Amino acid sequence: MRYITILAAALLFGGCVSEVQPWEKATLAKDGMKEGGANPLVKKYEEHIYYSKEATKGGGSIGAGGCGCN
Amino acid sequence: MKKSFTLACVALASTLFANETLLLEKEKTTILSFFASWCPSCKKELPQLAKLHDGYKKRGIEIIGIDVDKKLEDAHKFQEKMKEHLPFKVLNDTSNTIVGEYKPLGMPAIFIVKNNEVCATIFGAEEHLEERLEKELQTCKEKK
Repeated sequence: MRYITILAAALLFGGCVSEVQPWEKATLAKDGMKEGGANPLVKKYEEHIYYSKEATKGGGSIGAGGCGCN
Repeated sequence: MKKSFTLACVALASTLFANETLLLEKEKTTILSFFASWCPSCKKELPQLAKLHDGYKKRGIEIIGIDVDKKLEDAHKFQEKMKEHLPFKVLNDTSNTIVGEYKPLGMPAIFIVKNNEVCATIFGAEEHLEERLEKELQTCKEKK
């Protein structure tokens, strides 16, 4: 029974590991697939808000604190 | 994967599975340009290739465009939009049989084929395509 389950799972999920070829990236090239979605402004504003709120610990980077002393 | 393909294999495979057939003349140097509607770099490359078309034609070099869009409707829409930049023959490889044979590492992709063998490849859009193509064509010439 155990082997049948493994075999069934292998058959079921076998297609999940296929590599996307460079000529098959039509879906990945869609605007909606970009980080932050189709509208780049959304991502930009989100980053701005995050940076402002987290400025004391360096914002979005690994920089020093937000004391303005360096 | 070896970058050599037999004319018969590609022609047979494309006849069997693709919508259109790719037939290459053995002695003729052919530039195969793979592109797609979803590929922004292809839009940059095609006008450069179009400018070179007449000059290459006089030299006996053929350019064949291969649209790898899976939906024929997308392919036609794109080709209509880029009409002035597509003065050469274009094949629609909706089943991706031809591109599957050549297996380019990126898009857009250019394959220079002579005597049933791929003698040079260019992946991605080149800023100075003419110079690069001349260099690769020279390499192909020296190989024979």
